[in-house]
Amino acid sequence: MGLLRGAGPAGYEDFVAGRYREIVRFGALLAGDSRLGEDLAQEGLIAAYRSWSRLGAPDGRPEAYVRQVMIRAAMRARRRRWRGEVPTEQLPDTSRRGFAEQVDLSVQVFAGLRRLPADQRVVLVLRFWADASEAEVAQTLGVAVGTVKSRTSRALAALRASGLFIESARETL
Amino acid sequence: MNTSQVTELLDRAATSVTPSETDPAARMLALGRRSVRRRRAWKAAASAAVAVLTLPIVLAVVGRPGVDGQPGTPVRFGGVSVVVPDGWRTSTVQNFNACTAEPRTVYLAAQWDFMPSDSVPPGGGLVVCRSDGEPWMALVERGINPSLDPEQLVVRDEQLLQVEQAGTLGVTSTWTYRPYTGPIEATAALISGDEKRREQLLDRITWPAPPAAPASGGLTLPARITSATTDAPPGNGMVVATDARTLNRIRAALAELSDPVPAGAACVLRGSEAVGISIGEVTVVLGDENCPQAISTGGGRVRIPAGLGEELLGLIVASDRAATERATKD
Repeated sequence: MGLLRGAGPAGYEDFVAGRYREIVRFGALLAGDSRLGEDLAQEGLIAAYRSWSRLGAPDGRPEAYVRQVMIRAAMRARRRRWRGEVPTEQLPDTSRRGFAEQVDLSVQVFAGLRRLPADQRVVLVLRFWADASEAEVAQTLGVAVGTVKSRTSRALAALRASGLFIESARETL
Repeated sequence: MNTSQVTELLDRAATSVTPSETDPAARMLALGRRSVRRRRAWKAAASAAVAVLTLPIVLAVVGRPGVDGQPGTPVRFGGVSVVVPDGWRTSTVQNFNACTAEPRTVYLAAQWDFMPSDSVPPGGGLVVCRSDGEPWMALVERGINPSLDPEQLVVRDEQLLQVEQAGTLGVTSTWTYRPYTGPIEATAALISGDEKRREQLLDRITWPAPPAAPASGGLTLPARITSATTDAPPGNGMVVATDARTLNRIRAALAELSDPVPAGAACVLRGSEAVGISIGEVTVVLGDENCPQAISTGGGRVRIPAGLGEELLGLIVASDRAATERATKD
């Protein structure tokens, strides 16, 4: 059975069609995995569907709502076993490798993200990818600014230890 | 290392992602509709649960053990009793606003607002709540719902309580407490303060008596199950099983449990380690190896074999996945 187009709430399909890729990318970073990121994106978009009568208004800000749902889902997943995820036990020791030997950098970045606890990963993504201030992240997550600082610091330290920054710097020279 | 390197790395990783859905709008429309249908079914089931669960609840009276001897004034509200500490005041309001709560106040409210619009500064920006970190308490009749995977399920004063950090924007010191075995709209408590103060205030509350465990020693279960709902990682989205084979296996597995946990031997069921399954009139929560016990909101607490929660979760997820495939395939 085919799926009918144009029978949904006004504007919802256009919003999904236009923003799906970016929302999935945000989810992939939150989850540290592209497949799980798409699951997160779909959960956010389903929630948006249910609330579209409000979100579809001119000042509805549907993407902000979807992202908030995704963040909360990612944080809740922290408290559950993440059954679909197989975390990498050990990252390749990239610090001793030259650029020519390096495997795909984006794969290593996702592996590095997966090794972080979800609360640190979420803070990292919001701060450095979504470009949110520490205060904005604190408000989004309902934690103190000091907590954001400490989670950021720990996340950066973990990524630094993985050697990703060294490789990235070499590549951009 | 500088922050622009981090941004660059995240950008590169993000741009490498290509969604697997080739027609996301149609897919999301189908999933959205299905979600709405489920919610309607869920609400109908919840209404049935209210009718069943309300019956065995007997309101406790002030003066029960654990409340005696505490200085203060007893107050009853919404089936809950609280001994208001000396020097505190009570305030009855329609909508409780956690952001503007006054210290040393017990609020009695019909409901509460998650984030009232009047808390947001004109023009937007950060919400700063003066109530954050201050000691206060609110009893609210509506607004804290039972969760399938509560942060904690603790036994307090013989009642099973759902305990969760409220995460209210701007009021991070707030925790919510509500009977897990009560009706959907049971009176709940919001308590703010440091951990010690919250515990002291929680001690002042007397909750309605929980439903009794079945005489058989097992879990109270519905006579017939028409659906089994849980949430599943990664996003903890709702999944549901409706096929008879899966439901029969779930019911049989739960009905076999008959090793009751003696009083005082209950462990804390944590959402991070437990699986909650709604089977119509009741919800069953099964712990993992850290707390190998299961409870039914209809009554009963039993020991369970290792891995049972995971096994039942797997059955529901598989059933849901098969139903989704059938619903969305061309």
